[in-house]
Amino acid sequence: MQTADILLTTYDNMLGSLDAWLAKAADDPRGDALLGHKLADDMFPLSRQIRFVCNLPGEAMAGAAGVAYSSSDIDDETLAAARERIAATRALIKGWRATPFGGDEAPVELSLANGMTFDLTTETYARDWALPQFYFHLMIAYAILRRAGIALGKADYVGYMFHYLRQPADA
Amino acid sequence: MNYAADARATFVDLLDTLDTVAAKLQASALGDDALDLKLTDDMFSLELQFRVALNQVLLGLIRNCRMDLPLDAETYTSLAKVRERIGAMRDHVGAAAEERWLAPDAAIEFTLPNGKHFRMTAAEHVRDWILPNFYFHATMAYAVARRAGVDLGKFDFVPQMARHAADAPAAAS
Repeated sequence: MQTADILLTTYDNMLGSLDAWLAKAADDPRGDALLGHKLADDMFPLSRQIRFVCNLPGEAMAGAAGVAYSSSDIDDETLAAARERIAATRALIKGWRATPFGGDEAPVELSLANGMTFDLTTETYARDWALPQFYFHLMIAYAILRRAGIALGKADYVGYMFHYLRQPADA
Repeated sequence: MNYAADARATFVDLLDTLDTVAAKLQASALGDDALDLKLTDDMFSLELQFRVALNQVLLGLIRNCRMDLPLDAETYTSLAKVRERIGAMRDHVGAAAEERWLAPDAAIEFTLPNGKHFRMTAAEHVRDWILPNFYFHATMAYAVARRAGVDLGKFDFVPQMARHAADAPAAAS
């Protein structure tokens, strides 16, 4: 399993889950107002958690594969727009499957908006930054929706697992 | 990518994250009462978020390394106990040398309590089951503590990034 496959498969699986959560949110009477919900006053609202989640695949492709990508700095104001963003990101990921990644030891420099700079490799960038960041913002989005009372459960989180469903050998 | 080496690294790093959360809760006015906190009434308590998170490490080692380890079934009654169990998990990961891990394409099967039976490769098991669940419960533990007012920042969640800072001594040597 290659680094690119680990990142892109996880991103695609989880963006599919996020889309399903937002579909449930869209059925709620509060609708688009949910995008302004936060987990704590000093944390970002749902709209920005979604934006960060959708930026990370492109940022990873820029860092690890040299793809030109500009991160979005616009928060969606409707759930429909957020779902379009997710669909667009998944379409990009589909295309990136054929894009060669740098070797695992290839250097990747990461510069954050706060001025911090990190010297990584493709492998450590994927494992230590690109995946944890993605999961963090994805899970905070989930937590915001759960706190808002949207009916989500484990099956909504790992829906892609049905791909692996089998009959037990002794059944 | 060596899936076993990467899984071990992520296990240890996320255990560090959880230890920081537990230590900061210990130092807060909440103390052990924090273990009863929930994000919503219908979600697991912080105690169970910690315990289920740690059990993902055990499940990974049981299924991917064929290690004979019991899951943590007993309630963690204090933050000190949580941290003790985090230490025990670190030791288990340390004992799970790379050569003990199944080949990435070896088959792993498991059945959930609800009867659903899954089959996938060893590398898929880590990518698609263990890591998603470990990140889920670890992030929920972090979120419960954040909501309770504990002073946690992004780099408490990704402590491993300190090793990669451009001006870190390790990088300069």
